Amino acid sequence: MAAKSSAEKRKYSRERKALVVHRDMQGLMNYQKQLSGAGFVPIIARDLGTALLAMTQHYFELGIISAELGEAGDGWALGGVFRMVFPRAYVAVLAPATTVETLQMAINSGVTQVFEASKQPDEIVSAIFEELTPTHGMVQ
Amino acid sequence: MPGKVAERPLRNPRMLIVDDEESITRTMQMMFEERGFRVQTAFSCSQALSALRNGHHYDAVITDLNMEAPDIGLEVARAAKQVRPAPVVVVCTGYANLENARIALDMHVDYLATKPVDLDQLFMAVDRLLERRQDLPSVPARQRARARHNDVSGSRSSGSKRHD
Repeated sequence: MAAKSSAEKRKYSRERKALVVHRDMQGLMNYQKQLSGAGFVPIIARDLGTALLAMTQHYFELGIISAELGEAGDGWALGGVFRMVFPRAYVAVLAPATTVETLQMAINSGVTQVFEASKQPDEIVSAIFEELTPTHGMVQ
Repeated sequence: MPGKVAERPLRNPRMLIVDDEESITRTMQMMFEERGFRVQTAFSCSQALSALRNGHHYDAVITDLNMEAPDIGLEVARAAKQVRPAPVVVVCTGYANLENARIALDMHVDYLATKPVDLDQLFMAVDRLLERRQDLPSVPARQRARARHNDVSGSRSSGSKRHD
């Protein structure tokens, strides 16, 4: 039992990391502040290359990705890659508007949730935390 | 074509295809059987639900959305998602709207295809999702693996302080 509880302690003492990918620096800083306040270690990236590099160096339980990085819609592809690399993570994509096409992109990319980019970061982060379960990001 | 089937990690995956239009169901059945799937068909939500609840196990379920009633295919998707191990769930529809697409996203449907369905894209998506499902251990499997790991950690930690 003692060994089990120490294993539990190790599991829960592990740093929880979130990747935020957004081309706007102010947006990144807002998410960074919100996530730090919620106990996550935020890793930020402004472009696809940096985001992919970060994904090779960290284990993420949460990803918040803007749908528009270098060009319109490339955030969806990144969301799909994030899902493949971290199959248990929570992946949120920030889209300009919620349309049927947007929701279809989300489903087909394996994205967990779509938020309108116009929403405030604190609203989005609190909505994510309402849905985030202990199984998101669970180490396999 | 046979080469592609041989590459699939799961041999002869079992699939349930649900659509009230028999011609569509039969065409998809034929196409997937050609690719090595073992296909069972259902022509209504109720038929599909009884197949899912009668202990039949499927690796993938493809369902239409509007059958006996609008959006009733979401019931098939929901029932399929409750089966363990959960099959890959694909919804095909010509009537996607904000409401049903949002519900599909929230219930973690794996793929949403709009009619007319591009079969090549559908094949690729199903293959990719089956591969991902193979790679991802089911929750009980992960729990067993973790229990084994904890047992090993426990026996080691009794002789070492490394884990304390």
